[in-house]
Amino acid sequence: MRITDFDLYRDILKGQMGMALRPQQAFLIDSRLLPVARKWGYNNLQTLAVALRAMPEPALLRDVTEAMTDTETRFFRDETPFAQLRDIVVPALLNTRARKKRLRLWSCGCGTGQEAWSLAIALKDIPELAGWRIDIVATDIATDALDYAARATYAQFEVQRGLPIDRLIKWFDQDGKSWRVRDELRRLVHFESFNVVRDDSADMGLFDIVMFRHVLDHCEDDTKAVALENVAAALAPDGFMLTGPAENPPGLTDWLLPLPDSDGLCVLGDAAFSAESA
Amino acid sequence: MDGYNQKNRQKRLTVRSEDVSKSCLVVDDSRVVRKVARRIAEDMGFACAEAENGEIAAEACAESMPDVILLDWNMPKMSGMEFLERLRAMDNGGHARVVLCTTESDMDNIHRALRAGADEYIMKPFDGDIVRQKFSAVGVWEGTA
Repeated sequence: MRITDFDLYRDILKGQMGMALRPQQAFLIDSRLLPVARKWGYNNLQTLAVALRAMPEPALLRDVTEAMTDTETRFFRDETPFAQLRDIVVPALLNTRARKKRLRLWSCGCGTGQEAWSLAIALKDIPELAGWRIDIVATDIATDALDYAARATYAQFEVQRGLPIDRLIKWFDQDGKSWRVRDELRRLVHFESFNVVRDDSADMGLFDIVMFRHVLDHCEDDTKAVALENVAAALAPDGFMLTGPAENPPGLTDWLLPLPDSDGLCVLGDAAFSAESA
Repeated sequence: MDGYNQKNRQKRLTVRSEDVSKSCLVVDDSRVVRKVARRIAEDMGFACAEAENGEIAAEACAESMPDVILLDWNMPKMSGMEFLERLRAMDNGGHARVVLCTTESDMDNIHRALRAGADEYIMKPFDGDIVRQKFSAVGVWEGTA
């Protein structure tokens, strides 16, 4: 690949989604964008690059961006955030939401949906939440991944990644070699497209819990704070955000205050309240 | 049993490493599956032994109860289910965590295995990632899956 073409794709990904593309990731361009080139009738990546320079159609830009998005995930990924949810977040919200008995959650960067279903399972398995209304909004930039997530049907190999057998047989129906999420969970989750850099979270309403993990890993440094603050703006004043430990390093933003020794669990910081009252 | 088989059987039942804290018994009639599973478990730090059917596995457990058993279902002489029932009836038979590892993937069979005392269930084919997660789920391994 020519260096100028690498620069073109790097600029597109940064402009569209704040994603960082490093030289050592150049091989990803070949493997992921060749199918896009062929879909659009271009023989190779050089002609795709020419087309992108000449007439960058929004639909083509979207296909390029989605193809480069990492949507791989698993059920109950990392375990820690789900332990925090059970041991810290839900006990606090059981008190503060006792009257409304309603929780709104946002799985931001949900990929193929395993995180959203894991959240639904985790909350449904907490007896104290019986009778509560739970709404989970799951978003991603990649529409193919969202379509897959909304089908709520996973291969045998996928359900074995992170899902204990007792939860599999409790919350999934078997359909041959596939496993389908039960209606009781499907009613809790809906999927929609959202770009953390370009879309405004004000349109999403306020959430009690936001899961925002393994998204900023792929972002350029100067867009991390923008994305974090955009997502944090959708957090209820006494809500909780669960980030990856390395995704909200000290000094990145004053909008989020990591709880002590909490491995990425945050509440809103003073700057968020100042911004709201400004 | 001739000398060659006696020697090989003893080799299969003998753990390879002396300085690990947990032991794993791989029970499967496929030599290839046993080899793959053993490699995965040893990479996780387990001392491994192998058995090619439930009967040999029961003998091995009577001699030394492992911490975790990776157990096939369909085997000659004694199936995984028969072995599991015998294991749970043994003194100290509740110590071993049992992870079924089988092509039997129907929901009814999963329920049956859990009722018989299995702790986790792997539907073949499997890889190291899945074994690590299942061993973590049953509490015999604390690494990162």
